[in-house]
Amino acid sequence: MIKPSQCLALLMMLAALQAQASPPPNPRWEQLSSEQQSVLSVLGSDWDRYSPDKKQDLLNLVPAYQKLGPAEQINLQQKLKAWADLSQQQRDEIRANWKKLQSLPNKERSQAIARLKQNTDASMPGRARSTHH
Amino acid sequence: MKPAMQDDAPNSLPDSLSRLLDQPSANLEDAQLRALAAIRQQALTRHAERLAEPDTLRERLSSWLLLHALQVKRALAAAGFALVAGGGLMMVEGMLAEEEAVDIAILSHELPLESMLDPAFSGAVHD
Repeated sequence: MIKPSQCLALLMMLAALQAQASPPPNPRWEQLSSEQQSVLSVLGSDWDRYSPDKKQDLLNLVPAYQKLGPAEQINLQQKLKAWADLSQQQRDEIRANWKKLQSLPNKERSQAIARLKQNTDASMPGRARSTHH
Repeated sequence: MKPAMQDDAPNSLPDSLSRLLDQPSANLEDAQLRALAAIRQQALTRHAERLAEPDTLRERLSSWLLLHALQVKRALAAAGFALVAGGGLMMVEGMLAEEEAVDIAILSHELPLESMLDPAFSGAVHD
């Protein structure tokens, strides 16, 4: 039978290990690894004013970034600043719409993507692939 | 002597037993006393024999559960909590992983972000 004092000691050890293993919840730009700074370089000047949640969302992108192809990495880099500047509500809206798009049958999805690109090109000729708010 | 309340209550015992119970103990006949003593002795002998017999698995389990009822309750509560907490954590981690995958897919796709916002998106998808 574990005594309360032993249980408390165990919990404190676990908490200490957890604190040691976890990155800071609200890291400043200087506290990021070189890999994180490299991937998120376009956000360097604004990083320190982001909320902790937004920082974690953005940091979570870094491991997957390395697995992307060159073209996809460029797409991501071009959208990153606009993505970070969106409100949480807008990001959620985009995620929900993305899921709707993915749920369409292949043919309909291709047609919808073509229409979306066409509409965006028509409304913003010569645009960079980013959203400005 | 029976309590007054029982005098009015309907008697569900057999007549022979009622008669025996209604007898004041001082008035028991010798034969009745001998019979009761013999029955008591038989019961005590049987009880002693039963105590000497090894417990069955079921009895041992019942005894253990009676003796450790509190620990069993705590263990079950802890197991239930661990199950719920573990399930919840797995669900949250799954949702976070899914959100990360969606974010990466959105950002690495060629579609611009503004096309994914309404009303542009709804118009294009429902055409």
